[in-house]
Amino acid sequence: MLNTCSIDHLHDYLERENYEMEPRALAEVEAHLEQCSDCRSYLEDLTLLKGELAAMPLKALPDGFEEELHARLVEEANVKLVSKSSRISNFTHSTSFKVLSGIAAVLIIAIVVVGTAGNPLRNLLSKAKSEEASIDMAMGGAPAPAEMPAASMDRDGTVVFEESMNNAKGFGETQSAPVEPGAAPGSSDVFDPSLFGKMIIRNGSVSLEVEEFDTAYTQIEEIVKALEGYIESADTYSTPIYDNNGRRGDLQGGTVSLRIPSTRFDAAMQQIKTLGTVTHSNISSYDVTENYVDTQSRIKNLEARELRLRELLQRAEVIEDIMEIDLQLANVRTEIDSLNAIIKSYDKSLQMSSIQVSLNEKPLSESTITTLDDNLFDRMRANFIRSINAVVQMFQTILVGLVAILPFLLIFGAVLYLVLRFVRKFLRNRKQSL
Amino acid sequence: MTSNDAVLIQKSKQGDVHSFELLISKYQVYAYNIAWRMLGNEEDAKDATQETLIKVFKGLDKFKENSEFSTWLYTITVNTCRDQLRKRKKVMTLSVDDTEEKVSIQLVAEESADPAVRLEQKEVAGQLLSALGKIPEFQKTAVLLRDVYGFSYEEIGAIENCSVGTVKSRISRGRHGLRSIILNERSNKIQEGGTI
Repeated sequence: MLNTCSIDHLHDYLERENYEMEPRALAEVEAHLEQCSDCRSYLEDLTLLKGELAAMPLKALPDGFEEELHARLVEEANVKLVSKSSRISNFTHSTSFKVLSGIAAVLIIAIVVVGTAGNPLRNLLSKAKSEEASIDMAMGGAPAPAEMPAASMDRDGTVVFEESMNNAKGFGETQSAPVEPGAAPGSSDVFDPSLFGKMIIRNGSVSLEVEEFDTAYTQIEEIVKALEGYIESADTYSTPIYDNNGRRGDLQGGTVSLRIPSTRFDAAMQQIKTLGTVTHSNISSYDVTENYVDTQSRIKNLEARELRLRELLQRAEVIEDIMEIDLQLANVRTEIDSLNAIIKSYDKSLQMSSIQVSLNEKPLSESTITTLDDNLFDRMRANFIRSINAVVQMFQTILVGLVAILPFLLIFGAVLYLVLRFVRKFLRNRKQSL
Repeated sequence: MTSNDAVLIQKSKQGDVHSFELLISKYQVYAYNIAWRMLGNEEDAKDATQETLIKVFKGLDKFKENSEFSTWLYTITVNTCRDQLRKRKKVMTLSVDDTEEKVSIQLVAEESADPAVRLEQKEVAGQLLSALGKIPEFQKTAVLLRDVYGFSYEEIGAIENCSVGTVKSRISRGRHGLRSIILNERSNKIQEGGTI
């Protein structure tokens, strides 16, 4: 009769169409089934159960599911973008710390040399002063020591901007900018996938450095309005910038997600790029023709099947037949709905391209000309003192750390002492026994 | 994994929401249905599916591209539902009707069901949902994935992080349990004098 072993074999037998049984085991089960009516009944029950489970209809997604998910995904995408920028900022911050340490070491040596060599180096520095004075610095305020050696770097807007970002303590609080409700594209430009040989979804992203965030944002709004698109979401943030005198101001930045009619995608990308210095730009396109056509033909087939089932349903008289047809109709309808959702999603992407614009404000330019020797030694002294403070602080931290782990060291030492003592005793005993 | 999926995954990793939506469009209905069967109500299933899809979007960088995306997604679905079940701190029935008694019973022993008594189609269809809620959770998930959604043993093993042998054992015990529960309920009705 039924025991665990034969039950397992019967389940294997039930799945034999998908998972081939060993011929010997198959023959054994078949032979047993011929003799044992209980096992035959059990197998029939299992077949019925499996059939009923397989016939359970798929439930369609609840109303508003995709819209709600879309909003959450856009939110997550923005968070992802900001955290990525933050990681980059932290990386450059740590990199600049290493550079600063190197420069500090060079400065210490330089101070020692200045102290001993005296006038010749002063003459050399005053010569450098006249050259430096002619340089119109792109960025005002006292530059960090790292910027000192290369004046040409100071003239490069991007480098100066990144350095100032390094000084930032982190991103300011994120606030949501007003988002315009979507305006449908004009009827003259409505996208009809069937009119195109190829169905290509195009998306883009642009990173810009702009003079003023608010102005750039307004210009983007105007471009989007003119091209009959809409702003899907916008996030702004501010980053404090510091110099030797403390906080110098805030840099505004943000990411804006746009939806533009795909027929005007190129125009939008071009116009957006004119709003500032492009630091990164990307256009991606992928062909969905095959999938689209395939999905459409599957829907047509299923609809034809649905029609046939409805006809059958009208003719059916036996309750069991009606239930069976009804179940199949529900399955077909669920599948059609699911495929329609895919087509809807394709249509949306084909009709409206998505453009992610990342805006970062350039630091304010100050056209002050700083002479070299007026504050060079002050800055050297200040930085030297800062380095000394850093060294003292480092030793303090190490000292505090050592004291903090002292209890663990004591316990570890005691255990180590006992182990060593035991090992030594063991070796001594062994030697004596030999 | 299809080449189309691979492209969509790459783009989704860069934060492209539309690519991600296209990518999951094939799978989200199944994820929702798994959640619905595991959690027993539409609201929780919707929350769990959304949570799953957000987790997938956030964790795409961790996805190994030599594995199957759908399997990975369903693994996260199943685990998210288990977390929710754990939070509830009580065993749920799978029944859509919440008025049913929510009890967890150990698998009814084989002896309690008379093998001579056979299942009938109409009673199986009516009692299946309630019976699914009464078998142990791991067996229920394995039966759902195999018999309702048609996953292979290997896929279920990947989703549940267990061997094919364990999967087969859970499925056979799960089906066995379903049969026993339905037969038991039937014999109870007979004893109460009701009709089948």
